[in-house]
Amino acid sequence: MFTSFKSKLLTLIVGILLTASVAFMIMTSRAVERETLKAAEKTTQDELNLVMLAIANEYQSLSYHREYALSRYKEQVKNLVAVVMYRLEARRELALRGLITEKEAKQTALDSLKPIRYGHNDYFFAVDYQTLRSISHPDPAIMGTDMTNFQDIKGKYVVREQQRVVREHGEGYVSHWHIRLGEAQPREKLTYVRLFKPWGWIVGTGIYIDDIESETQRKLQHILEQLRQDFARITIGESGYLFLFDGSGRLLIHPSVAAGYATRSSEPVTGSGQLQAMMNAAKTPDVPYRYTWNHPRDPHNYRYAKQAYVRYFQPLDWYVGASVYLDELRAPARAIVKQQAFLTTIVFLLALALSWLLVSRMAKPLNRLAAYTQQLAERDFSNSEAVASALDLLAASCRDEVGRLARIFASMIRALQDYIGKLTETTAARERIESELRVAHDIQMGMLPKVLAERPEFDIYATVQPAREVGGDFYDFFFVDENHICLAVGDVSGKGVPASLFMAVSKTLVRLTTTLIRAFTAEGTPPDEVLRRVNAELVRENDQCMFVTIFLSILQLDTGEAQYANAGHNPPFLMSTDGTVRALDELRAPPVGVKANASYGKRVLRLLPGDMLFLYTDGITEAENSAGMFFSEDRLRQCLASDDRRSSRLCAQRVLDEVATFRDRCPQNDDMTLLVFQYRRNASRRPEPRTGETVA
Amino acid sequence: MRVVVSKFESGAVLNVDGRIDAVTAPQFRDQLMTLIDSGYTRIIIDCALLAYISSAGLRVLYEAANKLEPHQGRMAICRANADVRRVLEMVDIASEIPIFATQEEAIQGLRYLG
Repeated sequence: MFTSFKSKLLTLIVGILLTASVAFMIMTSRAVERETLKAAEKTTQDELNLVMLAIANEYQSLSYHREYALSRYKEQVKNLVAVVMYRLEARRELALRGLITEKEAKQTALDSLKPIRYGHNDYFFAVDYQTLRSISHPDPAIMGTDMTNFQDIKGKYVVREQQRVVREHGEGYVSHWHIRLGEAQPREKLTYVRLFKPWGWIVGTGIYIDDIESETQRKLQHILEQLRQDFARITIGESGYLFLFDGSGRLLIHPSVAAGYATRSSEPVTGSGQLQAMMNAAKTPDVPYRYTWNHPRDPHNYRYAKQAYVRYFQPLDWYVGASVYLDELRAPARAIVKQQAFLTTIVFLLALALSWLLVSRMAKPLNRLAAYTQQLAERDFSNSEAVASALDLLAASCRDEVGRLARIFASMIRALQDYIGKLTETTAARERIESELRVAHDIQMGMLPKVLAERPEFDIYATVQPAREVGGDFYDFFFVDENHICLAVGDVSGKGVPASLFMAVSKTLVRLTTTLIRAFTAEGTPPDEVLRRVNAELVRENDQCMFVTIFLSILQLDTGEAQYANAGHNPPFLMSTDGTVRALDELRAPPVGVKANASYGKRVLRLLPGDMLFLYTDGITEAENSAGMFFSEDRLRQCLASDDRRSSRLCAQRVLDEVATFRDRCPQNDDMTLLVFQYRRNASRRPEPRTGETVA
Repeated sequence: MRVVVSKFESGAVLNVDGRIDAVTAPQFRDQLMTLIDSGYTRIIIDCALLAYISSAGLRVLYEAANKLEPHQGRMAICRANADVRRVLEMVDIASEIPIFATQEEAIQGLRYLG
């Protein structure tokens, strides 16, 4: 899926954009919702406060009105009774003046009192102060009866109370319950009574308080109606509303429930009493009460989450609630999120399109780069210059990282091209040199003698193993004359081609010098003289300080007498038939080629039949194993001591095997040369002492 | 191989640590020749820590001795171990470069010889 740079980059961009948009939307919607809720709550509270204020206001005016009405009634009855008193006084005046008798006066007064009606069929009554007998009353059942024990329906001795009031104050108000004329139900009545002292009469009239109450009720209904109209106008949020219920659970105002007891008074989710819960909520007016309820648009489904604030108006035992639908509170946030989502989608698509273009533009040169490189590989670098030029163009057209990459690629391709060219040349040159070295190796090996005419007097075996194709070691053996054989081993300092050239010269000089000395000298061929002459020749013009160590021995076959000289070479070993091994290390001299006028000592020893001479170069003793240890002279000596002296070849082979075993897998680091010579002269000849002595 | 050079009067002491073989000889040669080129005519090769010297190493010694000769310079070798000493004696290097037991003797020897 993400195999291309393009898809990775695009995925990254899409991921970042999506994450940012979603996070932004979530945060905004939360903030908006929180703010909307807060605002809505404040609105709700404000509305509620206003409503409460209005209710309080109305109530105040209502109670003022009621007080006023009551005092007006009271004043009215007081005035009416005062008029009646005046009439009584008038009658008594007539009697006092003697125009009528007192009895006539009393009678006419009572007669005139009886028919007076006012207000709602209200009337006057009169009771004798002393006897409490009714002397005037429109009700025939009461008229003329003793009212002393008259009780109202609540058990109050009404007339006794009237007697007490007038006794104490002369006049006053007494309230009691009374059945109104023409009605069956008792009503609360406020009665005004006044004493007419001259005749000992209590005269009074009553008003029914419920007239005032009903007026209050009427006004209250009016207030409710006013509130209903107000509530209907007020919506909180989109369809939140105000409602009103009283302490008895009667819904007085509600938009979807007719006034009366709540049709559904229990909370549908919790089952608890809905209005009771709201009454409780009124105790904490600032904490919203959450519940589920119906919706004006959907009055039969009680499944809408709402929250309400409830206030209590104690004087009327009214609860006013303001409720809103939570959905509506969240709606603005949702609307904003919707809007944002729309905008984000547009921005997202734009960004995607732009990124697509940008990434494609970025990827295009990369793809071209890849294509060019592939071409290069497919065509085996044969078109490298064409590709490099194409990459140069690419580098010129892109000034960014891709351009730099292309430029680097182009220069890398050119460098590779050069390198391939050089490698081809070098390989050719190396192959030439290697083939030349192989030829040189063959020539060098060809210079070394392989066999010598079979003679019963000796058994000789020699081998050289160069560390490289050509080396600086050499050995030589040849007949100086019929009775003398020359043995030589040399080691040129250094290795490889320079050493091999010096070796060729040295070996040739040794043989030539030996042969020439033999030819021009009568008394034998002294090996030290050979070395002296070879040195004199080699030391000239030797700026490189090349040198060669040479061990040279000339051996007389009939006697076994061996003369030898050593120019700084590893001393050879004399292996006697008794198993002893002795190094011929008495001679010390510098190598050939180092010191002009160097002189070399000479020694003589006599070989017994079976004795062996073991000549070698330091490639043997200094063969190294992986621990960095040398094969060493001691090991060589032990190896030679255990040899059975039967064959030169076997002896040499044995040493080489030992060295190979010792070295294990370590590479050979120096040329190795061996020359083994066994003297086998006819054993019938008397052996002679063989202690060597210095001749020169 | 590691070479530590210390100076004395008109001379230099080369303490050679390790092996002088075909591989390390060119490095040894460079150091030795640089010293000679910069005018040191008394040179002591201190072989106390020298484990091995091959013919390539000997060749450097001969070359240095040859190079010093026209400048009346001298070389000396000191404190060679038995293995190194055997190689040195095999080629009779003492006839070209004197060998001493200690550094002090070598310095004394060069002063006397010079």
